[in-house]
Amino acid sequence: MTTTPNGTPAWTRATDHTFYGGNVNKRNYQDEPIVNPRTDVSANAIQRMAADLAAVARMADFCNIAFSASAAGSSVTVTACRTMAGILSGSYAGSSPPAGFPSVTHVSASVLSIAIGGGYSDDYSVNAVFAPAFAGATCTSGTYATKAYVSGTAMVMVESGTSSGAYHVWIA
Amino acid sequence: MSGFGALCPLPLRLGGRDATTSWTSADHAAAVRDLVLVARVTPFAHLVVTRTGSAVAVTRYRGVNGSGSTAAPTITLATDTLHAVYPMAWDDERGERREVSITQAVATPANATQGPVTTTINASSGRVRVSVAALVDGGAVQITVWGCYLDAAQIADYDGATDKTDSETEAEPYAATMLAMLRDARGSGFTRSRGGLVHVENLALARAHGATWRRAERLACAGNPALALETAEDWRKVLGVRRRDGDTDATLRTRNAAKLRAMLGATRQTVDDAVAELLGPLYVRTWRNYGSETIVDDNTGTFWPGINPGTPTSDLGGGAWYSDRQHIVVEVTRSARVSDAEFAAKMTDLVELLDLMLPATCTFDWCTGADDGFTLDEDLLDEGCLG
Repeated sequence: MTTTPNGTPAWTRATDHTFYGGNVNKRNYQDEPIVNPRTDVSANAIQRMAADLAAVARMADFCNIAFSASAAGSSVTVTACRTMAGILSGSYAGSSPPAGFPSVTHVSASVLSIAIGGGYSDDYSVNAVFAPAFAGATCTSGTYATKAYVSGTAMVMVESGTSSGAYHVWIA
Repeated sequence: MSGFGALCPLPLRLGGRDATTSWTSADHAAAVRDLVLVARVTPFAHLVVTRTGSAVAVTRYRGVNGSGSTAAPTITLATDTLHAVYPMAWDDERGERREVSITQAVATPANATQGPVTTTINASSGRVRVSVAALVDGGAVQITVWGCYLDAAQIADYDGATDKTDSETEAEPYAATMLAMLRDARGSGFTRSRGGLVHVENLALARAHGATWRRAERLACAGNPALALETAEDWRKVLGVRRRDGDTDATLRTRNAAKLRAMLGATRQTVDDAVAELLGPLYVRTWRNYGSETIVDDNTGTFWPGINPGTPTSDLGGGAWYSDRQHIVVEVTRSARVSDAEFAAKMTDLVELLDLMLPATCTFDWCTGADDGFTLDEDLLDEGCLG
């Protein structure tokens, strides 16, 4: 029998303390205090843990990606990528991502795009859609302030003074 | 035992005989530890603000305190500068009031129109204002803020404590044990199936007896200051232990227990035990100026007229003599996770405890290094022994 976790994966940002057994009415049996503070965990502590875990899950980055791009935009190579759904082993050409990883493509002389929406599966094979909402980027080249922003429901745009350079982008 | 349910209701009791059905104190400690660690570096919120003419709006918000516009801060625009004002407290999703202090913020452009922006942050009148300059018409900025809310989390929030251990009394749920006993006690004319009135009665009785056993165990714990929770305040008053702001249940228990140990007398073992109980993981060892030596052995720093003259400065006059045999140094360690305030409070507790335990002829000090030397005072500069 396969266990199915409560709720949906963290990247749906629908996390709630009830996913983890939290309940505003949860209490110790017969409302009695804990028996031995050295060995017991109270209902209140479990609730607090559930609420804080939900908050952390809500705020965690979905993806951290590092890639390098040439000035002409002819090549984009993803050198590292971590998503909630998996960690990249090796590297890949930005336009040909392995399953579960985003594509990174050249748009213009100073703009790149990261396609990262859609369905992902968690460790329990529960599939849910990730929609990027926030992003940030840094680039090693140029003095222009690199910026990253969400465009539509499944795209993150990255702008810099030039496409050339090594980038690091986080997406949440 | 752990687990929730009919035969093992809350509170969760750590430990058990079977890894497949239990949660041990080590499991709990790891979960609690990592939740605290992750919480410390988690941003408090991300938000995107868009400007249209002189109007600004939060178009996206996601934070520790919730998602959507209802959780977002108040925003205003003054010329081209955006101000986002955060209050100092929120009610979390369980309705618990949580204080927050925004301490860091960074804003970045969030659409193609927006150019570079600068961010400043200041606190006043119980609020924190994050200001973002150079927000252009049609532009959007993304602001990420960090602050003390979750990053002030501590293991005690989740009933974590450094002395947590597996339950030895209820490795098997009391109610489950009682249920088995009741079944066995019934005559052969009673069904042992899990359905029907007999099972219902057995179950009800087992739960009632289980609760009673727990009450008995709680009563026993109430009589031990190291384990007392409901009576911790009573123990504190009886033992004359001071309460400090920010004390957790666990720190108060350890102080109570250490104080009680002090009454057992200043033997080498009781001093070490009391200090170890008080300091927990901060304790390294107690250094003494004697080991297996007898009193007739010379000891550096001892002045004993006629036997060990020592240095003239050790002569207290009138035949009185000085010896550092009666001096102990408690070596402690501290990590970055222990704040200055926590550490200072622990050392104050240590000084109070040793002052109470040790005879007037004995002197003591503490240090964070094992080098030979001395400590001047409790200034952070002098925590290490100056050799």
